[in-house]
Amino acid sequence: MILTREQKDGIKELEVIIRYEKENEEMKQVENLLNSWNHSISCEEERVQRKIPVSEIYYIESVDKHSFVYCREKVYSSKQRLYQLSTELAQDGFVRVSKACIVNIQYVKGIKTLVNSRIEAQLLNGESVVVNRKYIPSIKKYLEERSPV
Amino acid sequence: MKKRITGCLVTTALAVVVLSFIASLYGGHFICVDTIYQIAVVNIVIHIALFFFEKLECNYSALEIMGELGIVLASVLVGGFLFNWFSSVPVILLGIMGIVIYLFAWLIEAVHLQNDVKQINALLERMSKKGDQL
Repeated sequence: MILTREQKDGIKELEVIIRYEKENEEMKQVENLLNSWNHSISCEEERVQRKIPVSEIYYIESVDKHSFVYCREKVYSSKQRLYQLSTELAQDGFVRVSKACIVNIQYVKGIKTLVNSRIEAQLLNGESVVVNRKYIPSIKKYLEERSPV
Repeated sequence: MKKRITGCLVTTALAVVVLSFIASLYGGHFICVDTIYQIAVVNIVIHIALFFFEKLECNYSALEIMGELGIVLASVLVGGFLFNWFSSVPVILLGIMGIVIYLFAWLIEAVHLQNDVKQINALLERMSKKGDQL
């Protein structure tokens, strides 16, 4: 892939052009990455509304029907229910790991099985989230579909 | 669905093998065809019950195992009552057989899960390498 930067006067918004011969998986991945960069969700932090870019979200957890959005260091709350967020963010690399949690796959370092047969996903910020074994096949399928050939 | 049918057939086969082993210990030489069908019915019931139990998604694995084992034992005992198994096999032995079959199935699933986890980690590594390149 060749990355070209072009500086031009009078451009009000950043423009990205993906030039390709045939539509392939790599091109789709770059497009999805850019879309998720552009995509944001409304969250609340101490009653102040904020737009959080999807690419900054590590995982989203639902506790007592309230959704909490976890970023690298901060936690925000969202009025949207987890199932709504799950549908909205499916194209942005989020996978369900349990009934109450969806994870941004780009921040998953690895998956570990523990002695007590629990499964944990280790994230790049050092946190870990519990993975229900029921979702292991769907996580694998998701990664296989998006895996670079 | 395919996975569920395979699981059901695997546990039915395991149950037949365990039953044959126990029967041979007691000097038995044959298993009735009826018994095999009855075992298959009980296994189908167990897998349906486990399917609904899975929906509860318990975060504590010990509790999950206890729940699953409870379903298996309850189904085996109800099956024993309905199909009159208690006339030939004592209740305790039937319970032990249920536990042994559950443990075998649990081990098979654990190995399967371990393989899936390895594959997921390999895919994640490949993805992260590709990401670094990008």
